[in-house]
Amino acid sequence: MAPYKTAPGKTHVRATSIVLLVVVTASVSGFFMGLRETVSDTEHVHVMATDHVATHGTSFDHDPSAVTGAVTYSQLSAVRRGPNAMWENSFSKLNTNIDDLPDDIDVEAQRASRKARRAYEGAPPVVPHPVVQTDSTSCLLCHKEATRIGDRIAPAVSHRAYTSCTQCHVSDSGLPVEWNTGRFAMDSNSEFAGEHTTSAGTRAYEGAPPTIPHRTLMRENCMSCHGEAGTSAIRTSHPDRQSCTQCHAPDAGYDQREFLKTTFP
Amino acid sequence: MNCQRRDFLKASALAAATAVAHQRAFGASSATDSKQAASGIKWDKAPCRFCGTGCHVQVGVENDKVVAIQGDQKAAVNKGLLCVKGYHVGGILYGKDRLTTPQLRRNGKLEDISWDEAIEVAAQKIYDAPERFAFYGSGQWTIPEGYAAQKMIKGGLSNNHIDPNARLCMASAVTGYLSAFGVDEPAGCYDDLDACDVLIMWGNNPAEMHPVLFSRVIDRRSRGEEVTLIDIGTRSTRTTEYCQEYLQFNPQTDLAIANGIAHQLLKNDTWDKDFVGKFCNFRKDTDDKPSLFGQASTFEEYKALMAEYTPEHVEALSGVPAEKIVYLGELFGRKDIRITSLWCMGVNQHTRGTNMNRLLHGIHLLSGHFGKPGDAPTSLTGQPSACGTAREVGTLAHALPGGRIVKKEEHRRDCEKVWNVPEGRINPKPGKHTVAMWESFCQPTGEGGDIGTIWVQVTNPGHTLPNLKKLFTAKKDLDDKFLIVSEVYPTATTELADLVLPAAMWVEKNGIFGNSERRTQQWFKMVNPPGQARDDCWMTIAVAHKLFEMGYPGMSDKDGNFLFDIKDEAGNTVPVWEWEHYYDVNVDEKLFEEYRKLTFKKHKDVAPYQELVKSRGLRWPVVENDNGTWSETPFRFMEFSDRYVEKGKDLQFYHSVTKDDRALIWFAPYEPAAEAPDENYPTWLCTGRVLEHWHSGTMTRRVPQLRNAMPHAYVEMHPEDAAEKGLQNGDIAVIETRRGKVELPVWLNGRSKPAKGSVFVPFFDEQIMINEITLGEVDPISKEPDYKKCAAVVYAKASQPQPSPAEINELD
Repeated sequence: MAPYKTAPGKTHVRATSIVLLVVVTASVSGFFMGLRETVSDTEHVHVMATDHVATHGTSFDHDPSAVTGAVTYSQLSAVRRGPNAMWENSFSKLNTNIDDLPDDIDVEAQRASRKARRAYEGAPPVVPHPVVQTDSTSCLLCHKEATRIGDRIAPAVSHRAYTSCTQCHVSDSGLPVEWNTGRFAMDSNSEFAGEHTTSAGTRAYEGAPPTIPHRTLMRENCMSCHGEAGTSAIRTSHPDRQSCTQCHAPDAGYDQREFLKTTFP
Repeated sequence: MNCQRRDFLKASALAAATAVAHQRAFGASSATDSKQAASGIKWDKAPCRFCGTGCHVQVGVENDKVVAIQGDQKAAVNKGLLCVKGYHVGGILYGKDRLTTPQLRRNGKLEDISWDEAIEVAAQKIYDAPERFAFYGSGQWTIPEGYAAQKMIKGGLSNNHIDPNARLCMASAVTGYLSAFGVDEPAGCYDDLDACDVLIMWGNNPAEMHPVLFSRVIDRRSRGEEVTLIDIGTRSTRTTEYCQEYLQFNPQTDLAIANGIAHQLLKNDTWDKDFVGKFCNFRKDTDDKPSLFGQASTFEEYKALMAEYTPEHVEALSGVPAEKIVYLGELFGRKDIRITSLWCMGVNQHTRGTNMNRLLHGIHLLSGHFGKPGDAPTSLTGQPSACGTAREVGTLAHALPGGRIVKKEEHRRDCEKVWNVPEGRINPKPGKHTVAMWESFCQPTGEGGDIGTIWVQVTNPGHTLPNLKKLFTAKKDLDDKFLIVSEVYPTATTELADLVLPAAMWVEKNGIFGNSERRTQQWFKMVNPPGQARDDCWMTIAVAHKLFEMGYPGMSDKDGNFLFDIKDEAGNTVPVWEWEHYYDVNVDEKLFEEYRKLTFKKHKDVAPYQELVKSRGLRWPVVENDNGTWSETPFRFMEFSDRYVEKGKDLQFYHSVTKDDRALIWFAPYEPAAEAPDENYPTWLCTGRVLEHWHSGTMTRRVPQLRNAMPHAYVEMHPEDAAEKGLQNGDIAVIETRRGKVELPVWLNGRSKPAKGSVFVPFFDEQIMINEITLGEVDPISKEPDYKKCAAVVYAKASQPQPSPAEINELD
């Protein structure tokens, strides 16, 4: 059904792709590990992760300690690496395991987490992991299609693959180098209260398909959030249907109404 | 679709689960929630508050608060897309430490006072010594704010000590345009980005600084179009990642590279003889001292002066391989492609910034890559109204509105007439430019410190001036100097302020900006400012009126009326100097319509206010059609677009320096930097910006999403340099120049990679102010400082122990 699933009877193709993927993954993760050059880096990452919330007084719903610090190659032999709950090194597995997530869906937690990543409904979500790399290829490695990492899913992009991801999406995890100093007291807390209307669309009558309860600009790929790999709280009940907007209409109340008025005859 | 049974089972199980989840997630009341939320938000247009790109946003307002932002799909600039700063622009209004009460420094401490008292204190300071007063404004001033300040000081006080922070940012672009075309601002526009085949970025990182313009180009490639991107820079940046060519040069040698291109065009005989013959003259600097318009030259002289810039010579100077200089020369020599050059601070913040601007215009003119969509030399601006206010309203020490200058009697008379003040009111002597103004303010009164009071609006000089100890912090010990600061948050500038005036910002007030492509953009006030914060424009008018009440003669016009006599529709004066009456009439519209009268002389005709209300900005000259509608001008000087070009002329530089409708191709030599690395200070220090923060970070550092992404400054080094000094990622380095030292954490192989022998530090962080050690040297013509080049020494902070997590938590 989904493009990441391998059809049976194509074992040789599958084997080749697995080998390729392992190679690609190894190179990519090696590259990222290589970015961190210091011998004291494991400690450093830990510092960063625990310190983050304390320093800036902001709350995030993801667990910052979920970021595993990479070690240098000289330390590799001393550290146990390998597939575990946090880390899986095969993209083929990462891409196929997305629907095996645990069934207990903490809806409130999911909604809170989703909200925490957006300044307001429709804001480009922040990235809940550090971002160093500069080009989009590395982002799309995990986000072109949904990828499972541990018990979390790296969602697919919801819009056409624009080529400059970091223009709009920034990390919520600061820089990989930490700094503590204070000369001018600056309050970084904000009283900005964004609009958050993550609720169901309206229905014309009982049983009618609900309208889309959010803006659709830059969210053309409905399945990135509402498909199998989407946040389970907002997954569609009928993933087998293909044409979402055939039945679910966008709601002008959420969009640029002036724009809609002038283009509608 | 070939679905397996297993998939069906999975799907139905999933369906059941999600149906339950759905019910739990969105209970019965959700439908009404959504309807209310959706219909409760009122949307309106505004230009983004940050850079000079001038994207339009749709601002969602609910219960007198901004609650959401969207890219404006009707905006020609951004077509619905924004960058991360733009998407979070609403957050800048809601930092917890907004300034909400006027404050006066008494016994070293800022104490709350009333607005009446604040206005009185400011007016008294000016009244006592009007010639010692200076206005320091900004490219973030709205057009009416800048116009009011300009009129108050030049038309009211007969004092020309007014300059904007734009002096630090695009003054060299102004002098570049003026000396090449006789009139400021680009001929081209952003449409060039849709039409060019080659985009050359000169010391420019638009992927971070002008992201929407950059994605406009790279998204053409993802649509299958071919665009060649060339990055000519001193460090590899996010922009470099997208470029086919990256030519890394030694700082300051961009002058040699531009000349190398001209040399190739001459050598290969590929320069555009027809274009140059019809539309260009040659020019060079006067022999004794640099001047804005230089002296006449000839093609033969130009060719002789260019002779030394062989690819080999340019390689020796710049480090760019000779064959790449040949390649650039070949590109410019081709007639079948269109070339757009973009530049920003790398070229402008340069002790030869004017010359570098001239050379870029020169190679485009010489090669004929000018005057067609896609063939354009275009300077980008960093502030939302650096063009609209600083350049067009002319809030500079030597300028008057509409491209006029104080030195010219005719120009002064024009303004005096529109302002209805007696002839001779405007002082013909240019005032102090930014660096001179602050230098004078920071010197003791008896020792050349002529400036006694400065009023700062919409900018943060305590953070952004170069060589801060000399140009700003020295004020601290001078008791008779008085600093008035209109601000929205506490900053390094308010630290030393004697009077703090809490300001309204962005959509808390009416406003008009002008972006990098001559586009004037209007917006309305959408929410009320917090506490007692008020419009900057009101503050200026209120202080002017207080001076009027005190009997200061300059605040009256010829007929004895107040300088800002604003009337309602019935013709009655509205007391706009009283805050409760400020919004009884649209002061912005009144001031803008008055200013508009001054925009025609240099064909910078801005549109009527009401036309701006209807549009997402209009590019001047905006000309009325026979049927009463108005048309903008995307491409200036070009017959197909600009109606001020005479029929049949094709291209006409109608404000030409030489009065013959021709542009000037300048020769300018490569000259070394004001301060270059030596034995004691062996490293280049470059400063600049990052995507997430805007300039001094006063606004963006109060937006959690932006601050979390980029919490503090750092120093980028070449890994080999770092290794040599025993520095690793995260270690603390000391960067020392002749002006002082700062400490910073090292970030290796991060977002950008500086060349060996150079380091880069972003300037947004007010906890680590790199401008304490930057150089105050300025371009001799534009007076713009060079923030990109000075000599430093970098070393590890001695025996820095690694703090444990516990220790760090304790610090908090």
